[in-house]
Amino acid sequence: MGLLPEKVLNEWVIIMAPRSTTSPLILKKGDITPFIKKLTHILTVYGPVAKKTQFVFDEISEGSQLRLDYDTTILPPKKYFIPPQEEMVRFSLSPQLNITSPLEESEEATLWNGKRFVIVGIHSCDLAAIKFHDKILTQVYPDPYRTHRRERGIIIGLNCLTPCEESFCKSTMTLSSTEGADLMLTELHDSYYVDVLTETGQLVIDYTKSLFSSASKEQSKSVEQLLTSREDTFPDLIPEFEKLPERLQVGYEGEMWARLGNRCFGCGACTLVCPTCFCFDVKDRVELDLNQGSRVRNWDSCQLVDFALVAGGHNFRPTIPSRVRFRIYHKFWIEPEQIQVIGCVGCGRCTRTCPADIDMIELLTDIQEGGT
Amino acid sequence: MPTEKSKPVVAFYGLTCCAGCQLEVLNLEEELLEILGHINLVQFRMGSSAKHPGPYDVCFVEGSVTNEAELAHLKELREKSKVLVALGACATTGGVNALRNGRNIEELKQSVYGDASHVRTLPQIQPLKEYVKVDYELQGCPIAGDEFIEFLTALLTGGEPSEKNYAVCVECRLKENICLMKEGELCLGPITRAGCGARCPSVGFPCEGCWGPVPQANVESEINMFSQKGASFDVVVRKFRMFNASMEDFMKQLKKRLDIEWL
Ligand code: SF4
Ligand code: SF4
Ligand code: SF4
Ligand code: SF4
Ligand code: SF4
Repeated sequence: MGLLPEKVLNEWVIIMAPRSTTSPLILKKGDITPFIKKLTHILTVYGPVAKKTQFVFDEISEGSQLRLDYDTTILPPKKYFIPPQEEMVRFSLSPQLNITSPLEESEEATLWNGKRFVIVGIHSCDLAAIKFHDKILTQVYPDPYRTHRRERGIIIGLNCLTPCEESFCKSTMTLSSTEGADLMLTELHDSYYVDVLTETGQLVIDYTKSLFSSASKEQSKSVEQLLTSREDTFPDLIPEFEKLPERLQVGYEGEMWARLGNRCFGCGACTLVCPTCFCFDVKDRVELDLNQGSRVRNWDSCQLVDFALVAGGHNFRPTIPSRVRFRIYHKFWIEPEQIQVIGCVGCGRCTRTCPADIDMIELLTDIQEGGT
Repeated sequence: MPTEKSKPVVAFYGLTCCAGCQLEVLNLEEELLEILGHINLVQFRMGSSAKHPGPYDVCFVEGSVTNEAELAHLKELREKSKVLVALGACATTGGVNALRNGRNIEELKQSVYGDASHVRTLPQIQPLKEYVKVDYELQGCPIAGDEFIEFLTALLTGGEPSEKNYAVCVECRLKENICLMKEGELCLGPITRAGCGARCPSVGFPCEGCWGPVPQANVESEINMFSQKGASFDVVVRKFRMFNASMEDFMKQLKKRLDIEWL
């Protein structure tokens, strides 16, 4: 089956890119508010905000809304690159058919013309998922809509210093992912230590320069220590994660799928909240004037009954057990075959959201132990 | 602009219900004029006292059949209509009217009306599709205005109205609500058809199932999850019956699991 664990490993090593290309900086926590204020003058700013007891990514107008102490969010930041509902084309039917696409926008997006956006505070697992999409949605399923948005997004990443509940990012080797970020923040006492990773990141710094100072050697050393100490403080909850694709290949009809299938609602929540899932469904909609309309794509899920329904009424995965199995196969076998990367970054959102309390760590541990 | 003649003849009728679904249509104030530009609305007691004997191109029927007279009326409407649409929970699942199912109807009549000799009623409430051929169903208690508009535009442009064969959880996740099941509450969202936009969880209330069962509803797992959260049999039964007491699959599973004869 062609898949070599080393290949999987190598791919992630690239994602775990080195830190700063230029000398690191310091942003005082008290300066977050003016920093955000300045950004809002030229960019749409998104970041984690509180929603009752949890957090979501949302538009930020005031620095005080930003909750960089968040653990995880209900939906991942993929919603800014692949919106849950997106118009692919608009049309009008009369006097003659006229079609326009958002991709035809002629003006190039620059930092200054209000066409770009910045997402502040993306954790490493979600950065890895963005890289995952960068790969699969260019190499296997080229997606011009996502690319269009991706080119307009600026990313300010944030290193995790304590593990969040249900996550297993050390096992997925996504704990130290920084690639994809333009700036990378690490909390250091009353400041954020800032690695500048790209030219775009440098442009943002130049624009807000007065708020930053250079990091001292000691500060760099402290951050280095903080980051390496994670090797001890983050547990390896699914040892030999990279062997999962191989181990899945032993059983197709195992008892495990029936057991999970009895429990699962087929509600699709797990894939909607998953930062690596990208499936969608396309529909045409005509408005009430019966003239204007649009072709819209909506997030879809392989867990839903209509997902594998084809013309003529045949359904390739007609039962819940067959769909649960497919989700796991797609992430842990098919995607690694396609792009040599496992389609799970260990964020734990699927476990946190499942109304049937299906636990990803338990499920994968069962597979590791030959339990399919 | 189509002429009155070329526009489809549309009627609304109500059987036993609160008329909330027709009200929901009336509430579409902004869109109503535009809608009226496309249809010839001949019977809509919420907006006009005019009556029209039929035939109809599209007939929307809300409410449940509770007696023989209503049954005859429904059959007559079916014969007069090219397309018959069941509107709302009462028409699609029996809704709260079906709470009487399984109970002793004579006792119920007594407790509500006292001397009930003049009350004629059928012992069971069933979805309209159990009595006549129903072409489409719009679920909910009450229906959702945007689903109504989407349905109507699909019909008017000759498209096939799409069914939402997925659970409320989908809409609930997209709204980024805190999941109430995860907070220990009893939410019917995982086994209830979407369409309401996760109305209840979005304001902090668990779903009561008014859109009816989602296809392949995993009822057994829902009962297990409810029991795990410490819900008593009584509470589980009440929750399942609220809008779905006539839904065979729900009741069959309950009976099997909870050993209740009368359901
Ligand atoms: S499968 Fe679960 S843990 Fe893995 S990336 Fe998706 S949501 Fe996160
Ligand atoms: S797990 Fe399912 S929803 Fe997610 S990417 Fe794979 S097929 Fe699509
Ligand atoms: S969230 Fe849970 S119940 Fe829903 S489809 Fe996923 S595994 Fe099944
Ligand atoms: S609150 Fe209810 S509807 Fe929403 S995701 Fe949770 S179980 Fe589903
Ligand atoms: S959340 Fe449930 S009870 Fe509430 S409107 Fe929607 S389907 Fe009905």
